[in-house]
Amino acid sequence: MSVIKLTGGRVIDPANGINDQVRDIYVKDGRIVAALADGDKVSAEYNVSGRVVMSGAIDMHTHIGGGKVNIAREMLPEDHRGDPVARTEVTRSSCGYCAPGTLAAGYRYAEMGYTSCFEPAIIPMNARQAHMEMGDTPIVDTGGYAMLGSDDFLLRMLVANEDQKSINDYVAWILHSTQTLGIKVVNPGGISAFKFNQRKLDLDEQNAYYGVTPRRIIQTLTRAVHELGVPHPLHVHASNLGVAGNVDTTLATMEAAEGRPIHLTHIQFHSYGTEGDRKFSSGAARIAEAINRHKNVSADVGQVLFGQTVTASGDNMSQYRNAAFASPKKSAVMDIEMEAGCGVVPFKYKDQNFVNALQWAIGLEIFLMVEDPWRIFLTTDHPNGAPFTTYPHLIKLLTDRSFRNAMLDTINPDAKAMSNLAALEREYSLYEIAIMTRAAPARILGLTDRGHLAPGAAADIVVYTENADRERMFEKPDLVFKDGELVVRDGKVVKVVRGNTHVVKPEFDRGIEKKIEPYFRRFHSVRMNNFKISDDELCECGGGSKLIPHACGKRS
Amino acid sequence: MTNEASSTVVTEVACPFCGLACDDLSVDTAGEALAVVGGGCAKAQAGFARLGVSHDGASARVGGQPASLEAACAEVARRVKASAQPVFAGMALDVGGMREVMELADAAGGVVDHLYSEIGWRSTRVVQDVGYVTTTLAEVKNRADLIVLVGTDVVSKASRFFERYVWNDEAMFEPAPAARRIVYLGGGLNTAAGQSPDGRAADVFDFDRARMPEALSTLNALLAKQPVSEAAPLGIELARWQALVEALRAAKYSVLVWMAGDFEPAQVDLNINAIMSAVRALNVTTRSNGLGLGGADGELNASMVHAWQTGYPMRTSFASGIPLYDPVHNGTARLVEQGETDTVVWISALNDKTPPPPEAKVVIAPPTLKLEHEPEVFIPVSTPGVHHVGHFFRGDKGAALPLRALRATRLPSAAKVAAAITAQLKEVSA
Amino acid sequence: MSALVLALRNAPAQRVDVGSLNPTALAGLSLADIAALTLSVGKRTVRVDDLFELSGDDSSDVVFRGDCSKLERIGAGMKSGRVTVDGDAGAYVGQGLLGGDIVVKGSAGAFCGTGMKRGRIEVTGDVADFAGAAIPGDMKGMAGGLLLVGGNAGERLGDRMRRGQILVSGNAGDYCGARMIAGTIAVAGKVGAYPGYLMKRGTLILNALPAQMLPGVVDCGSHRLGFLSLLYASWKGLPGPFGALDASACTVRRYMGDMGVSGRGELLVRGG
Ligand code: SF4
Ligand SMILES: [Zn+2]
Repeated sequence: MSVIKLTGGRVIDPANGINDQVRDIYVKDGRIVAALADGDKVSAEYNVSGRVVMSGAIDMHTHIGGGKVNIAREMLPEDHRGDPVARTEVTRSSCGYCAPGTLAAGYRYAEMGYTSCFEPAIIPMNARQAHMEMGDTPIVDTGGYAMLGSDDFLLRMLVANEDQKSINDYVAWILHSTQTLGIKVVNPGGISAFKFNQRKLDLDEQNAYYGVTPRRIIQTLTRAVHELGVPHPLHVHASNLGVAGNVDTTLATMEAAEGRPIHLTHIQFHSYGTEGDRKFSSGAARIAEAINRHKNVSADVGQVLFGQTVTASGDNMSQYRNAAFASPKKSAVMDIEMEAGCGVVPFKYKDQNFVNALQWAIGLEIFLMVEDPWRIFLTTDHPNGAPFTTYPHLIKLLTDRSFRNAMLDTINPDAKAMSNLAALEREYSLYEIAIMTRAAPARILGLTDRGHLAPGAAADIVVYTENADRERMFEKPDLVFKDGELVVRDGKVVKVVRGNTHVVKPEFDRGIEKKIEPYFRRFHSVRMNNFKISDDELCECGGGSKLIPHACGKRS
Repeated sequence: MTNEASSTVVTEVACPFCGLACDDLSVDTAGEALAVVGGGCAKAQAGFARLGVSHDGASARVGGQPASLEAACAEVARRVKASAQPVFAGMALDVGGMREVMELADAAGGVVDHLYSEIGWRSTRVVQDVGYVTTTLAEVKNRADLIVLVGTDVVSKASRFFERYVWNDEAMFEPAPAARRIVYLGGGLNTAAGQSPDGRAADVFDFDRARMPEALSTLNALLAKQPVSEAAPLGIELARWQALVEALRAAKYSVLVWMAGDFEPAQVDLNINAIMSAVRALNVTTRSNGLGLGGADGELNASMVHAWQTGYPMRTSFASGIPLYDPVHNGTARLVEQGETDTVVWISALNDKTPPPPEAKVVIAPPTLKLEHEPEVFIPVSTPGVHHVGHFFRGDKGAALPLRALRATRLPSAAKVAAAITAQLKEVSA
Repeated sequence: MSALVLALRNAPAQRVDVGSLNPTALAGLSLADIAALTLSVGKRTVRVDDLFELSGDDSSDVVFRGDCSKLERIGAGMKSGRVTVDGDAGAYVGQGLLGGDIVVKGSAGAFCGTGMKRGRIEVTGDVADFAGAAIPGDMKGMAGGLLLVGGNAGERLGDRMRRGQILVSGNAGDYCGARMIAGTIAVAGKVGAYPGYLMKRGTLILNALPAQMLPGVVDCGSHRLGFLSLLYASWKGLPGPFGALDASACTVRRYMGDMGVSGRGELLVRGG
């Protein structure tokens, strides 16, 4: 039995309404407890008085595992050469800046105080690989969202006008079979359309073969996820990624949810207007206004930060188009297993490039104009907007207006002129940062024992020395505990532990397999039973990760 | 249904004996050896029969003498520790085996090299240099209308390609599978499998396959509507080349298939690069995709795990404490020949046929592997998909299949052996 | 002042990255500082003076002695000065060279001159495969400067070369100028199969074509190209056959290719 005491810290725990109160925290066997029982002996006490204590941070959208990320790693030896992670007594060697190896990713996340990371785009057929990669991402908890919406099975169900219940059963079956925590839709129906040689697909445009529109896919899937009681709303990568004028599509996509919960991911890439000489403008104000008005909508930003990165997406329709802008000039585009696709395109965001600079400003505008920090999430869509290691810098941009405006003065002047960023006075407080990076992601994912510090919570705890320079503060926590184990001291990994895997297991009618099994035999490349990942197998894929299922409250 | 006591037949078994990883095998576990009674092919039958025994009596050896597993692992750890530059070669492993070998290789400051890496690094070079536009087997099964096999017949290495993915009873989209058009680029290939069920022979461009650059140069020139220097490239009249180009342009979902190991080694990346050039040109107006097949002997298990853990492909040296990637210089054969390694550790759980290099001082392999020289340490291991569960990446990267445990054995898995050596190594260091 | 001589005590068994031992990186360091720098030999970390016997004091003029065929990245990234190898050198000689001179009095390993931007590398013997070529994942090989080869070159000479000149007095191997983007390669001897495979732009100056040519490299007839006389004149006095070319002999047979990938590369066959 281990009992840890963190003494005298300034606790910021928004999930429990605690804002900068001095409290002691007790940890017993990996969990936070209210107080010690008789006979408990404190095995380690940490005097953290004057220091800021938060729960471990949660990245709800980061591409850390699965096929496309591994393609990016293989593609970019030049990315890795300058960013080695040396072997130490406790850690293994690895490398990579924007496409790091899983070992490097896990260590670096932990060293920034992140204790949970979620891979948002798992092609069902690729779920094993995603879990293996996440299993080899040390220290942090993981989980993922399964991609549907361009899979031929669902599209055929829609064409056949199958009832919502059957669709719900299929969606639940996918969640079980892939051992995931949510459902993602990427360019709804568009990845399928690309296989039929369609090069764009608007929200109300029909897939050339199936006749199904993206709107219908979103309606059906938001309803399925909601009715199954999956905590995380449908995770939507909307149509027309990166296209000037896509703000209208994005607003219409919010409406397509018909009031049901919907999460719009990397919304920065979907917030573009067509004003100005270059027909590219910020749609941030309209997007923020709509999010403020629609309480059913949440979003993560997908902030762009300047420098070299690599974009990796399931949206091969967009990525095929973006390949023309690849830097360096190489790209990989794949159609995958009648389920989806992927596209990997290296990209360099330049502060003197009008479009890139405006993208940077648009992301920040959205952050600052969305009022409710519980519904806007801090992401760069790693590595699409920038690698996750830029988060401390992003936090500084959000918390420090003068720093932000100084940066704004250095970007492309035409982009600066097109942005209202300079007028936005808001500075995020530490409390709001804690909401955005801890309490809110835990809540929107249904992780009841993460993202807060009340008794019963897992002891994922981070201790920072407060520093007016928030970048310095957040890039190097003093202490990080994972499930009660001290894993990072002074920003360096001191112990490597294995994180858990978070999943949901909604109730459903197994009878759906009578339809799925013959489909696999006729059209797929594997048998249904070899597609499904059992709990035991997941544990093996995860290299021994513990499975944490989260409750679903069925709503139909 | 072949067996009365059907309980001894396990169905929907995935096969680890080539890169196709067919998962429709029925394997009878009743006899002394495993018997494939449904699905499968000759290679699968032979593999399950040869390896699918319990290997009773096989024991580790040190210096040719029987030794305990522990003692053998300790001896390997000692040698690896003392080595100036160890190399871990072979690597015909499942994912789990590879994961453990990676930990060992890092701790030992070694290099990891798969038996096909000499081709593999050149093939990986394509994604590093230009990228690709590719597809996977389920897409081929349902969408392909024109399949061009570039310098390969596939079936010599992966016999069930046409059976499972081309001449199916039905496809989800047009055309019906029987109407698919098959073209072979290159002579000396087994083209029988490319004949359609209704007897339509494949279109064969018959030429010396070492001259593949000429064929690809011709196709790319014609696709770009540019002239070529000859009236009959490779002795085949230009009109036929032109007709192929028109067919590719007219196809809705053409697929250009290659197996890197079937190209001249020096041409691998350039030829694939040229194929990608054609595929990209076609995608301006229609859909066309490449399909690189490979993955036998766990090649992708090794390459995928290596890339995700460290960021780099194989042939990366961990000697200095940080990964240094140099596929040209870190091949086992070269390191041996140039005297840069003093310790070759051969690890292979899936392949009991390829002999390790004579310099391999340590061999960790199935007991059925015939050795020409007695290595200093031999550790017999079980085989994934036969004796223990595991995972296997299919050669198109489209899927990782779960492997089953069908036969009990007392032998340890390669993963277990690697982990034991790592543990010993860390003890030696501590 | 005399040249800083690094004489190998024993040839190392493993490859050693000695890129840091170049005039630019060593500038301002005392002999003791240099002796104390560390290098990796396999799993071992050694001091420079464990590996080399040091003498001399002019670090702008570095001389490697002994069997240097395991020494990699000799002169890599240096901006000025001179590095001499008395004997064979390993791979990546002059990688990313920015200026100065490297002379190898022997043969050099693979990827000689990869990524060099300026400066000059002279190899009196042979260069192995991929001289002036891109390493895997790099978008360009040699990007400027001059690479002189007294002997033969291996395969893929100038693969993805972006700028600069490579002059080979002997023969060149297969796929010479493959995927070339720009720059000039001249070969006095024979070239192997398929020069200009996937070549986009750039110039190969050859004495004869090999039997194995690509159909996508097409004959564009005989031409008298004025720029050649300027080029030849600029080579005047260089060691080897190119230093003595008749600047008026500018008539060549011109081939263009590889037609499928822009086709603006040119193969100029002298005397055509
Ligand atoms: S084709 Fe390959 S995977 Fe399929 S059964 Fe034969 S050996 Fe096994
Ligand atoms: Zn994303």
